[in-house]
Amino acid sequence: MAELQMGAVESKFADIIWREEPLPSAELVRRCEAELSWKKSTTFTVLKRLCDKGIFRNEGGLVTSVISRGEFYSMQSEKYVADNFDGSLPAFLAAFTARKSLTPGEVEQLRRMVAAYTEKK
Amino acid sequence: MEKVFLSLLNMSITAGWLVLAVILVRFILKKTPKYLRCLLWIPVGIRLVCPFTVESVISLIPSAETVPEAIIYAESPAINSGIPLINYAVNPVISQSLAPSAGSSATPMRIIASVAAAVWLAGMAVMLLYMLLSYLKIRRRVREAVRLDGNVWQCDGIGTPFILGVIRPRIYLPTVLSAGDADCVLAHENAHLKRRDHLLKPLAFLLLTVYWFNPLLWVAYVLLCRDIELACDEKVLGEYGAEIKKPYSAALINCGAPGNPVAACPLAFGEVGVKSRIKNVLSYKKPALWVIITTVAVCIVLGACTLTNPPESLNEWLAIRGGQNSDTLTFSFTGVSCYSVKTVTADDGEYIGDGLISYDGSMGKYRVLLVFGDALADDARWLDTYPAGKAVRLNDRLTIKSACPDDSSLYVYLGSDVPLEVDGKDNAKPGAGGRITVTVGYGSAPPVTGGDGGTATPDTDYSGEMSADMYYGLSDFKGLELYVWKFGSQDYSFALMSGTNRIKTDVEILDQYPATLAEMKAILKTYDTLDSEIMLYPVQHPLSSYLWQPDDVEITNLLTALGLSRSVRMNSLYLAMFPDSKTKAELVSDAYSKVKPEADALNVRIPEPYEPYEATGAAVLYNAQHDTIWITFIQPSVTGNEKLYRFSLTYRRGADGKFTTDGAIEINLG
Repeated sequence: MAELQMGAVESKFADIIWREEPLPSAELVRRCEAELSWKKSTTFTVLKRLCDKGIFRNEGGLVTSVISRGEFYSMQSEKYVADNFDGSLPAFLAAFTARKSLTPGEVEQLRRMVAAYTEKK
Repeated sequence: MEKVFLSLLNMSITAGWLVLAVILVRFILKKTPKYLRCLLWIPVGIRLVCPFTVESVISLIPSAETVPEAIIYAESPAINSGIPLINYAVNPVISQSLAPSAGSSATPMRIIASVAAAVWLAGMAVMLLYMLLSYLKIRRRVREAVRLDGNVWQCDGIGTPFILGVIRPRIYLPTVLSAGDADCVLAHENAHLKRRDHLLKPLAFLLLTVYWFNPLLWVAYVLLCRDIELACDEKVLGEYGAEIKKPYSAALINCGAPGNPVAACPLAFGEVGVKSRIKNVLSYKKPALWVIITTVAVCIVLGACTLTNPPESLNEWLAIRGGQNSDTLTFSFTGVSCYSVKTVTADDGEYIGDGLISYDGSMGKYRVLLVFGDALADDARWLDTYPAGKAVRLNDRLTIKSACPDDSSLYVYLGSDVPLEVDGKDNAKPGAGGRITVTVGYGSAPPVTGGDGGTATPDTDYSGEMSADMYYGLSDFKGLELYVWKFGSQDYSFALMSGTNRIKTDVEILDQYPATLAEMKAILKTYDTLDSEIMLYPVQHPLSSYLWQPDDVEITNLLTALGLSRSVRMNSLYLAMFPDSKTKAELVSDAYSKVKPEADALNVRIPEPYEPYEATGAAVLYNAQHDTIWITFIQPSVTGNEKLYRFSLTYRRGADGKFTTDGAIEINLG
């Protein structure tokens, strides 16, 4: 899995597709024009780039996603923890909670998540 | 096209001097507000754009036309950079190696000029292409930008914030820019927009595309960009106060991208050296009023000194133009000098040397200097003109061999003590850009048949006003006196004076500039004096050995050739009583025998008398009023600067009709 990065603008574009998919490419062009003020050629250029990266697919004039939004950002978070915390989630959490303490609600959520996870295993 | 390039070259050289001055002043004014430093570049821009200016004495520009237009045609190409050192270094080389060779119509300078112009155009095209391509490249990249707010857009693929666009400028921010940085950056970019830098920088770059060949201007462009950025930084600091210093410096560090220092557009935030900018930001203090005032004053002074051109210096050289083989030489005086000129040939067509016409302000004269070899004499010295006492004009036939002094300079006197009238104004010195056009050409004037059967055909149809200028505009309140004399059976010379009742002395006649037949005809045309108000004085010129006895036929022919009628009044008083040549020769040798002992006693050499007397330095003058003959021996000149001895004897006609002297020798030094 190659490095998948998207800039802020590309993210906006990706969000449009993830929100509306599947949608005809013509419709995508229209939306990009409306929301981002992009020309048709620009839209297609960016779309092609992201398709080449394997995130989206444009077949027969219909645009769909290969990697969903959730999948994409979970990959991003994986990468983040790998890059910055040696892949150690506890280390990440420790850093995260060092400045902000967890609310009781969040603690409960975490506990249920860990329990569900252990059960699955 | 070569002309355009040459004038651009000169303008850029002038601007180059300016850039050096600005750099110096910038250095001195390091501590002053940067936006004032930007002002310093305005004169540079003006000089590059505007070919016109005024003259003033406070100008610091060395020379307004370093590469004169006439260099293309000149026999000895030369530049005038205004700095003697440069002139002396460059000119001897180029005047030899780039001088046109006989026979070829294309001078080396001409070829060089054409090639240079072509190269310049090519370079300009390359620069414009680069400008266009880099603009298009950036445009492509910001296609994917998304509008943030107003004219602020965000884009993924850019490394530093910048402004793009001239008419509707947009600010582009990288998406990775943090909010805090973005605020500072926006403040900076908006400062740019308020200062109209988005117009200034492309304009400056356009000037650079035209003047790309001058490296100093590239330096100026880089420095200008630097000044612009620093000025914007200071503007932001001025508006927001010292609290912004820290976040602003942080933004500079985060965004500092090593950019292309010579880009036309855009105005990139991190383009100019971040280190110096941070230093400047951190040490910024609001400038005191006096600092601003002094800086502005310095800028104004610099502007005045550099936006004006230097006044014409005395001893300007005139540029002579003309085809090498043409019958017509046109002299024109342009604002700045070029001291290489047309060749002057001796009577048998032999090349003598290159000549210069120089204007000597201190003497108010124009003179032609013939130089042999490559000695371009700046310290023009006066030698006796050749032949002694007679003024000679360019294109006159000169036999110089015997009279030529050894030190390879011969001065031919072309002018008088009377200030020239240039362009209708009475100037002692032609102003910059003043044009005196003198055309010496070959034309036709009717021949004059002398009583002795000789026919004189004038070979110059003189239509200019330069050399016989003293004969124009004389007062004819009491009529005009037209003097004519002959040096040979075909050689007429003329002089014109205001009418008086006084008979002119021989010395006065001696001093007259000899105009040719064609010249005098042109001169007389400018007067509307009645012919009957003109008195014709045929005279025996004091220095002429040709004994002239005009008869009616010759006089009539002469008048017709001059365009005058027989209403002209005649005075042939002089002629009637002048002794014949035999008597003259006897008297001269008698005088010599008397003068020689005196000269020997003073250890002065006087030449032996023989005809023609003027060549030997002996003058014979006849004064009709007193009926006396005045014989003078003149010491020959050696260096041309020394005072010369003159020994004179006066002979009076005795009762027996013979001339005798009382033997009293008059000795003059001067």
